[in-house]
Amino acid sequence: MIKRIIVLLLIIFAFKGCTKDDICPEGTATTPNLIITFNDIVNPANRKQVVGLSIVTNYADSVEVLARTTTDSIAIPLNTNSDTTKYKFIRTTITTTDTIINVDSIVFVYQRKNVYVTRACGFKTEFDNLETTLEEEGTENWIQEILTNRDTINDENEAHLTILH
Amino acid sequence: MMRTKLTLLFFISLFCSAQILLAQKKNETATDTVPKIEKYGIRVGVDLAKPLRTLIEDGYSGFEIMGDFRVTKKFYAAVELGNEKKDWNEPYVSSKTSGSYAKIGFDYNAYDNWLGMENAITLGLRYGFSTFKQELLSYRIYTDNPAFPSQIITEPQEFSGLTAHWAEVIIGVKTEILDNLYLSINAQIKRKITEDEPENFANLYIPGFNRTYDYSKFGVGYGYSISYLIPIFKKTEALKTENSELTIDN
Repeated sequence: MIKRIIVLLLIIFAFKGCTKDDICPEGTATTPNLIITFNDIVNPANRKQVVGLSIVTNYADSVEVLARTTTDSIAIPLNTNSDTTKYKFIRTTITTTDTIINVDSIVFVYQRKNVYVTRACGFKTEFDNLETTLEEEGTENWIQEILTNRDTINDENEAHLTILH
Repeated sequence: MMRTKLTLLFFISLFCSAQILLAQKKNETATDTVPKIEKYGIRVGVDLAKPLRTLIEDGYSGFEIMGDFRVTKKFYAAVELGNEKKDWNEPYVSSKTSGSYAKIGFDYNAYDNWLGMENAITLGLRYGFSTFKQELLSYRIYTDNPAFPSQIITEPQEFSGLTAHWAEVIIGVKTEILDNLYLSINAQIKRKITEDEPENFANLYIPGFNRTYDYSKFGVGYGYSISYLIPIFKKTEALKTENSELTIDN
Protein backbone atom coordinates (compact mmCIF):
# COMPACT_ATOMS: atom_id res chain seq x y z
CA MET A 1 0.00 0.00 0.00
CA ILE A 2 2.72 2.49 1.01
CA LYS A 3 4.76 1.55 -2.06
CA ARG A 4 1.77 2.23 -4.28
CA ILE A 5 1.31 5.65 -2.74
CA ILE A 6 4.96 6.51 -3.26
CA VAL A 7 4.67 5.49 -6.91
CA LEU A 8 1.59 7.69 -7.25
CA LEU A 9 3.45 10.63 -5.71
CA LEU A 10 6.33 10.14 -8.14
CA ILE A 11 3.95 10.10 -11.10
CA ILE A 12 2.32 13.33 -9.94
CA PHE A 13 5.64 15.13 -9.62
CA ALA A 14 6.85 13.81 -12.95
CA PHE A 15 3.82 15.38 -14.63
CA LYS A 16 4.25 18.55 -12.65
CA GLY A 17 7.65 19.05 -14.27
CA CYS A 18 6.73 19.36 -17.91
CA THR A 19 3.64 20.85 -19.41
CA LYS A 20 2.94 22.70 -22.60
CA ASP A 21 2.41 25.80 -20.49
CA ASP A 22 6.12 26.37 -20.44
CA ILE A 23 6.52 27.38 -24.07
CA CYS A 24 4.28 29.52 -26.23
CA PRO A 25 2.76 27.01 -28.69
CA GLU A 26 3.10 27.73 -32.36
CA GLY A 27 -0.17 28.79 -33.91
CA THR A 28 -1.28 30.75 -30.87
CA ALA A 29 -2.87 34.04 -31.89
CA THR A 30 -0.25 36.49 -30.64
CA THR A 31 0.46 39.99 -31.97
CA PRO A 32 -1.15 40.09 -35.43
CA ASN A 33 0.73 41.22 -38.52
CA LEU A 34 -0.59 43.76 -40.96
CA ILE A 35 -1.93 41.94 -44.03
CA ILE A 36 -1.64 43.76 -47.34
CA THR A 37 -2.76 42.57 -50.76
CA PHE A 38 -1.68 44.10 -54.06
CA ASN A 39 -4.26 44.80 -56.75
CA ASP A 40 -4.21 46.20 -60.24
CA ILE A 41 -4.80 49.98 -60.55
CA VAL A 42 -6.43 49.42 -63.94
CA ASN A 43 -8.78 46.80 -62.60
CA PRO A 44 -8.90 47.21 -58.76
CA ALA A 45 -10.85 43.99 -58.21
CA ASN A 46 -7.98 41.88 -59.55
CA ARG A 47 -4.88 40.83 -57.69
CA LYS A 48 -1.63 41.90 -59.28
CA GLN A 49 1.78 40.62 -58.29
CA VAL A 50 4.60 42.99 -57.47
CA VAL A 51 7.77 41.88 -59.18
CA GLY A 52 10.90 42.35 -57.09
CA LEU A 53 9.27 43.61 -53.91
CA SER A 54 11.30 44.05 -50.74
CA ILE A 55 10.39 45.85 -47.54
CA VAL A 56 12.65 47.45 -44.95
CA THR A 57 11.90 49.53 -41.88
CA ASN A 58 12.48 53.23 -42.46
CA TYR A 59 14.70 54.09 -39.51
CA ALA A 60 18.34 54.93 -38.97
CA ASP A 61 19.15 51.24 -38.54
CA SER A 62 16.77 49.69 -41.00
CA VAL A 63 15.79 46.05 -40.79
CA GLU A 64 14.63 43.99 -43.72
CA VAL A 65 11.26 42.35 -43.07
CA LEU A 66 10.72 41.03 -46.60
CA ALA A 67 13.55 39.85 -48.82
CA ARG A 68 13.14 40.59 -52.50
CA THR A 69 10.40 38.42 -53.94
CA THR A 70 7.45 38.43 -56.30
CA THR A 71 4.15 38.31 -54.49
CA ASP A 72 0.61 39.70 -54.37
CA SER A 73 0.15 39.61 -50.59
CA ILE A 74 2.34 40.24 -47.56
CA ALA A 75 2.20 40.17 -43.78
CA ILE A 76 4.41 42.70 -41.97
CA PRO A 77 4.72 43.52 -38.28
CA LEU A 78 3.82 46.82 -36.70
CA ASN A 79 5.98 48.28 -33.95
CA THR A 80 4.53 47.30 -30.57
CA ASN A 81 6.64 49.89 -28.75
CA SER A 82 5.43 52.93 -30.66
CA ASP A 83 2.26 54.38 -32.20
CA THR A 84 3.90 54.75 -35.59
CA THR A 85 5.72 52.37 -37.90
CA LYS A 86 7.65 53.54 -40.95
CA TYR A 87 8.42 51.30 -43.88
CA LYS A 88 10.07 51.53 -47.24
CA PHE A 89 8.36 49.49 -49.95
CA ILE A 90 11.02 48.87 -52.57
CA ARG A 91 10.30 47.63 -56.07
CA THR A 92 13.32 46.48 -58.00
CA THR A 93 12.83 46.07 -61.72
CA ILE A 94 15.64 44.32 -63.52
CA THR A 95 15.74 44.69 -67.26
CA THR A 96 18.39 43.41 -69.62
CA THR A 97 20.14 46.74 -69.57
CA ASP A 98 19.30 48.30 -66.24
CA THR A 99 18.20 47.83 -62.63
CA ILE A 100 15.53 50.33 -61.55
CA ILE A 101 14.94 50.70 -57.83
CA ASN A 102 11.79 52.55 -56.84
CA VAL A 103 11.38 53.29 -53.13
CA ASP A 104 8.02 54.37 -51.69
CA SER A 105 7.74 55.35 -48.05
CA ILE A 106 4.68 54.56 -45.98
CA VAL A 107 3.90 55.64 -42.43
CA PHE A 108 1.39 53.74 -40.33
CA VAL A 109 -0.18 55.50 -37.34
CA TYR A 110 -2.42 53.65 -34.88
CA GLN A 111 -3.42 53.17 -31.26
CA ARG A 112 -2.19 50.17 -29.31
CA LYS A 113 -4.00 47.90 -26.90
CA ASN A 114 -2.16 45.15 -25.01
CA VAL A 115 -4.20 41.99 -24.49
CA TYR A 116 -3.30 39.03 -22.27
CA VAL A 117 -2.83 35.76 -24.15
CA THR A 118 -1.44 33.00 -21.89
CA ARG A 119 1.23 32.65 -19.24
CA ALA A 120 3.78 31.38 -21.74
CA CYS A 121 2.95 33.83 -24.53
CA GLY A 122 2.50 36.88 -22.33
CA PHE A 123 0.61 39.67 -24.01
CA LYS A 124 -0.17 40.61 -27.59
CA THR A 125 -0.80 44.03 -29.09
CA GLU A 126 -3.88 44.90 -31.07
CA PHE A 127 -3.86 48.01 -33.24
CA ASP A 128 -6.85 50.33 -33.63
CA ASN A 129 -7.67 53.26 -35.95
CA LEU A 130 -4.94 52.48 -38.44
CA GLU A 131 -4.07 55.42 -40.67
CA THR A 132 -1.82 54.92 -43.66
CA THR A 133 0.11 57.73 -45.31
CA LEU A 134 2.06 57.34 -48.50
CA GLU A 135 4.80 59.87 -49.03
CA GLU A 136 3.81 61.62 -52.25
CA GLU A 137 6.48 61.74 -54.94
CA GLY A 138 4.21 62.68 -57.84
CA THR A 139 4.85 60.40 -60.78
CA GLU A 140 7.76 58.74 -59.00
CA ASN A 141 5.48 56.57 -56.81
CA TRP A 142 5.00 53.00 -57.95
CA ILE A 143 2.16 52.72 -55.41
CA GLN A 144 -0.88 54.50 -56.84
CA GLU A 145 -3.43 54.16 -54.08
CA ILE A 146 -3.89 52.54 -50.67
CA LEU A 147 -7.33 51.31 -49.65
CA THR A 148 -8.16 50.51 -46.03
CA ASN A 149 -10.40 47.47 -45.67
CA ARG A 150 -10.20 47.17 -41.89
CA ASP A 151 -8.62 49.72 -39.59
CA THR A 152 -8.52 47.37 -36.57
CA ILE A 153 -5.72 44.84 -36.64
CA ASN A 154 -6.70 42.09 -34.20
CA ASP A 155 -6.41 39.05 -36.42
CA GLU A 156 -4.76 37.89 -39.63
CA ASN A 157 -7.83 36.40 -41.26
CA GLU A 158 -8.36 39.02 -43.97
CA ALA A 159 -6.37 41.75 -45.63
CA HIS A 160 -6.35 45.03 -43.75
CA LEU A 161 -5.07 47.09 -46.68
CA THR A 162 -5.15 46.84 -50.46
CA ILE A 163 -2.40 48.57 -52.40
CA LEU A 164 -3.15 49.46 -56.02
CA HIS A 165 -0.23 49.66 -58.43
CA MET B 1 -4.25 -29.73 -15.84
CA MET B 2 -1.48 -28.35 -13.67
CA ARG B 3 -3.51 -25.20 -13.10
CA THR B 4 -6.64 -27.00 -11.94
CA LYS B 5 -4.52 -29.00 -9.56
CA LEU B 6 -3.02 -25.83 -8.10
CA THR B 7 -6.41 -24.13 -7.86
CA LEU B 8 -7.83 -27.08 -6.07
CA LEU B 9 -4.87 -27.16 -3.73
CA PHE B 10 -5.33 -23.49 -3.02
CA PHE B 11 -8.99 -23.88 -2.09
CA ILE B 12 -8.30 -26.89 0.02
CA SER B 13 -5.63 -25.09 1.98
CA LEU B 14 -7.88 -22.03 2.32
CA PHE B 15 -10.63 -24.22 3.68
CA CYS B 16 -8.30 -25.87 6.14
CA SER B 17 -6.84 -22.64 7.40
CA ALA B 18 -10.32 -21.19 7.76
CA GLN B 19 -11.20 -24.15 9.89
CA ILE B 20 -8.18 -23.54 12.08
CA LEU B 21 -9.00 -19.84 12.39
CA LEU B 22 -12.58 -20.59 13.30
CA ALA B 23 -11.33 -22.93 15.93
CA GLN B 24 -9.00 -20.21 17.19
CA LYS B 25 -11.84 -17.74 17.38
CA LYS B 26 -13.75 -19.98 19.67
CA ASN B 27 -10.74 -20.35 21.89
CA GLU B 28 -9.89 -16.66 21.99
CA THR B 29 -13.37 -15.43 22.79
CA ALA B 30 -13.57 -18.03 25.45
CA THR B 31 -10.25 -17.42 27.16
CA ASP B 32 -8.73 -13.96 26.72
CA THR B 33 -10.18 -10.90 24.97
CA VAL B 34 -7.65 -8.11 24.45
CA PRO B 35 -9.52 -4.82 24.28
CA LYS B 36 -8.45 -2.54 21.42
CA ILE B 37 -8.30 1.04 22.56
CA GLU B 38 -9.14 3.65 19.97
CA LYS B 39 -8.22 7.22 20.77
CA TYR B 40 -10.61 9.98 19.81
CA GLY B 41 -9.72 13.62 19.90
CA ILE B 42 -8.60 16.69 18.08
CA ARG B 43 -5.36 16.56 16.16
CA VAL B 44 -3.68 19.88 15.44
CA GLY B 45 -0.61 20.43 13.35
CA VAL B 46 1.53 22.61 11.15
CA ASP B 47 2.91 22.07 7.70
CA LEU B 48 6.71 21.81 7.73
CA ALA B 49 7.29 22.13 4.00
CA LYS B 50 5.93 25.67 3.71
CA PRO B 51 8.14 27.32 6.38
CA LEU B 52 11.12 25.44 4.93
CA ARG B 53 10.33 26.77 1.46
CA THR B 54 9.94 30.23 2.99
CA LEU B 55 13.53 29.98 4.19
CA ILE B 56 15.17 28.52 1.11
CA GLU B 57 13.03 29.61 -1.83
CA ASP B 58 13.22 33.14 -3.19
CA GLY B 59 9.88 34.78 -3.75
CA TYR B 60 7.88 32.42 -1.57
CA SER B 61 6.51 32.63 1.91
CA GLY B 62 3.73 30.61 3.44
CA PHE B 63 2.42 28.61 6.34
CA GLU B 64 -0.41 26.19 6.98
CA ILE B 65 -2.08 24.90 10.10
CA MET B 66 -4.38 21.94 10.15
CA GLY B 67 -6.71 20.08 12.40
CA ASP B 68 -8.79 16.97 12.30
CA PHE B 69 -11.39 15.43 14.51
CA ARG B 70 -12.19 11.74 14.58
CA VAL B 71 -15.86 11.31 13.97
CA THR B 72 -16.12 7.55 13.56
CA LYS B 73 -13.64 4.71 13.60
CA LYS B 74 -12.61 5.38 10.00
CA PHE B 75 -13.67 8.96 9.30
CA TYR B 76 -12.06 12.21 10.35
CA ALA B 77 -13.39 15.72 9.77
CA ALA B 78 -10.46 17.74 8.53
CA VAL B 79 -9.59 21.37 7.97
CA GLU B 80 -6.52 23.25 6.74
CA LEU B 81 -5.95 26.98 6.97
CA GLY B 82 -3.06 28.77 5.33
CA ASN B 83 -1.53 31.85 3.87
CA GLU B 84 0.82 32.08 0.92
CA LYS B 85 2.74 34.71 -0.97
CA LYS B 86 4.37 33.77 -4.24
CA ASP B 87 6.22 35.55 -7.03
CA TRP B 88 5.57 33.97 -10.37
CA ASN B 89 7.99 34.78 -13.18
CA GLU B 90 7.56 33.59 -16.71
CA PRO B 91 9.69 34.74 -19.65
CA TYR B 92 6.90 37.09 -20.71
CA VAL B 93 5.02 37.77 -17.46
CA SER B 94 5.97 38.55 -13.88
CA SER B 95 3.38 38.53 -11.14
CA LYS B 96 3.00 38.34 -7.40
CA THR B 97 0.12 36.62 -5.60
CA SER B 98 -0.76 36.74 -1.92
CA GLY B 99 -3.72 35.55 0.06
CA SER B 100 -5.29 33.09 2.46
CA TYR B 101 -7.13 29.86 2.02
CA ALA B 102 -9.22 27.29 3.84
CA LYS B 103 -9.83 23.66 2.99
CA ILE B 104 -12.63 21.73 4.64
CA GLY B 105 -13.48 18.08 4.22
CA PHE B 106 -12.88 14.61 5.57
CA ASP B 107 -10.29 11.86 5.63
CA TYR B 108 -10.98 8.17 5.43
CA ASN B 109 -8.44 5.89 7.04
CA ALA B 110 -7.91 2.91 4.81
CA TYR B 111 -5.27 1.33 7.05
CA ASP B 112 -5.99 -1.41 9.56
CA ASN B 113 -3.70 -0.91 12.49
CA TRP B 114 -2.02 -3.53 14.57
CA LEU B 115 -2.98 -3.55 18.15
CA GLY B 116 -2.06 -0.31 19.88
CA MET B 117 -0.86 1.43 16.75
CA GLU B 118 -2.36 4.63 15.43
CA ASN B 119 -1.02 4.96 11.92
CA ALA B 120 -3.10 5.94 8.96
CA ILE B 121 -3.21 5.86 5.19
CA THR B 122 -5.86 8.37 4.40
CA LEU B 123 -7.89 9.20 1.38
CA GLY B 124 -9.62 12.51 1.73
CA LEU B 125 -11.82 15.01 -0.02
CA ARG B 126 -11.66 18.75 0.47
CA TYR B 127 -13.48 21.83 -0.63
CA GLY B 128 -10.95 24.61 -1.03
CA PHE B 129 -11.55 28.32 -0.97
CA SER B 130 -9.09 31.17 -1.35
CA THR B 131 -9.24 34.95 -1.23
CA PHE B 132 -6.23 36.68 -2.66
CA LYS B 133 -4.83 39.55 -4.61
CA GLN B 134 -2.65 39.44 -7.62
CA GLU B 135 -0.22 41.98 -8.97
CA LEU B 136 0.95 42.08 -12.55
CA LEU B 137 4.44 43.48 -12.14
CA SER B 138 5.71 43.54 -15.70
CA TYR B 139 5.15 41.90 -19.05
CA ARG B 140 6.39 41.66 -22.60
CA ILE B 141 4.55 41.66 -25.89
CA TYR B 142 4.94 38.41 -27.77
CA THR B 143 6.05 38.96 -31.36
CA ASP B 144 7.54 36.37 -33.65
CA ASN B 145 9.18 38.99 -35.83
CA PRO B 146 12.63 40.29 -34.90
CA ALA B 147 12.14 43.63 -36.70
CA PHE B 148 10.67 45.24 -33.58
CA PRO B 149 11.93 43.45 -30.48
CA SER B 150 9.45 43.78 -27.66
CA GLN B 151 10.39 45.68 -24.56
CA ILE B 152 9.53 44.86 -20.97
CA ILE B 153 6.56 46.96 -19.95
CA THR B 154 6.60 47.77 -16.25
CA GLU B 155 3.18 49.13 -15.42
CA PRO B 156 2.20 47.38 -12.18
CA GLN B 157 -1.47 46.61 -11.86
CA GLU B 158 -3.11 45.23 -8.76
CA PHE B 159 -6.15 42.98 -8.79
CA SER B 160 -7.53 42.54 -5.29
CA GLY B 161 -10.54 40.80 -3.82
CA LEU B 162 -10.16 37.76 -6.05
CA THR B 163 -11.59 34.40 -4.99
CA ALA B 164 -11.22 30.84 -6.18
CA HIS B 165 -12.98 27.60 -5.30
CA TRP B 166 -11.76 24.09 -5.94
CA ALA B 167 -12.27 20.44 -5.06
CA GLU B 168 -9.35 18.37 -3.89
CA VAL B 169 -8.45 14.71 -3.44
CA ILE B 170 -5.79 14.27 -0.79
CA ILE B 171 -3.84 11.06 -0.20
CA GLY B 172 -1.69 10.87 2.88
CA VAL B 173 0.31 8.67 5.22
CA LYS B 174 0.39 9.40 8.93
CA THR B 175 2.82 7.77 11.33
CA GLU B 176 2.78 8.07 15.09
CA ILE B 177 6.42 8.80 15.91
CA LEU B 178 5.94 9.48 19.60
CA ASP B 179 2.91 9.07 21.78
CA ASN B 180 0.20 11.26 20.20
CA LEU B 181 2.72 12.94 17.87
CA TYR B 182 2.30 12.31 14.17
CA LEU B 183 4.35 12.92 11.06
CA SER B 184 2.44 12.93 7.83
CA ILE B 185 3.06 13.35 4.16
CA ASN B 186 0.40 13.91 1.56
CA ALA B 187 -0.20 14.58 -2.09
CA GLN B 188 -3.07 16.60 -3.43
CA ILE B 189 -4.84 16.71 -6.76
CA LYS B 190 -7.10 19.70 -7.21
CA ARG B 191 -9.66 20.80 -9.72
CA LYS B 192 -10.82 24.38 -10.04
CA ILE B 193 -14.54 24.95 -9.80
CA THR B 194 -14.71 28.72 -10.21
CA GLU B 195 -12.34 31.65 -9.97
CA ASP B 196 -12.42 35.41 -10.42
CA GLU B 197 -10.33 36.16 -13.46
CA PRO B 198 -8.59 39.53 -13.28
CA GLU B 199 -9.46 41.73 -16.23
CA ASN B 200 -7.04 41.23 -19.11
CA PHE B 201 -4.90 38.87 -17.05
CA ALA B 202 -5.16 35.45 -15.38
CA ASN B 203 -4.48 33.89 -12.00
CA LEU B 204 -1.05 32.37 -12.43
CA TYR B 205 -0.98 31.23 -8.81
CA ILE B 206 -3.76 30.72 -6.28
CA PRO B 207 -2.89 30.38 -2.57
CA GLY B 208 -3.71 26.83 -1.48
CA PHE B 209 -4.24 25.69 -5.04
CA ASN B 210 -0.69 26.36 -6.28
CA ARG B 211 0.16 27.24 -9.83
CA THR B 212 -2.54 27.09 -12.44
CA TYR B 213 -2.29 25.81 -15.98
CA ASP B 214 -3.46 27.53 -19.15
CA TYR B 215 -5.01 24.46 -20.68
CA SER B 216 -6.23 22.59 -17.63
CA LYS B 217 -8.34 23.15 -14.55
CA PHE B 218 -6.23 20.75 -12.52
CA GLY B 219 -3.53 21.50 -10.00
CA VAL B 220 -1.27 19.54 -7.69
CA GLY B 221 0.24 20.03 -4.28
CA TYR B 222 1.94 18.30 -1.40
CA GLY B 223 2.33 18.65 2.31
CA TYR B 224 4.66 17.42 5.01
CA SER B 225 3.38 18.07 8.47
CA ILE B 226 3.71 17.37 12.15
CA SER B 227 0.63 17.15 14.33
CA TYR B 228 -0.33 16.41 17.89
CA LEU B 229 -3.39 14.50 19.04
CA ILE B 230 -5.20 15.89 22.03
CA PRO B 231 -7.08 12.84 23.24
CA ILE B 232 -10.56 13.62 24.47
CA PHE B 233 -11.94 10.17 25.07
CA LYS B 234 -11.07 6.56 24.42
CA LYS B 235 -13.27 3.90 23.00
CA THR B 236 -12.60 0.31 23.85
CA GLU B 237 -13.71 -2.35 21.50
CA ALA B 238 -13.42 -6.06 21.80
CA LEU B 239 -10.75 -7.46 19.50
CA LYS B 240 -12.40 -9.37 16.74
CA THR B 241 -10.75 -12.31 15.13
CA GLU B 242 -11.49 -10.92 11.66
CA ASN B 243 -9.18 -8.05 12.53
CA SER B 244 -6.32 -10.24 13.69
CA GLU B 245 -6.81 -12.35 10.62
CA LEU B 246 -6.29 -9.30 8.40
CA THR B 247 -3.15 -8.27 10.25
CA ILE B 248 -1.76 -11.74 9.85
CA ASP B 249 -2.36 -11.51 6.10
CA ASN B 250 -0.55 -8.20 5.95
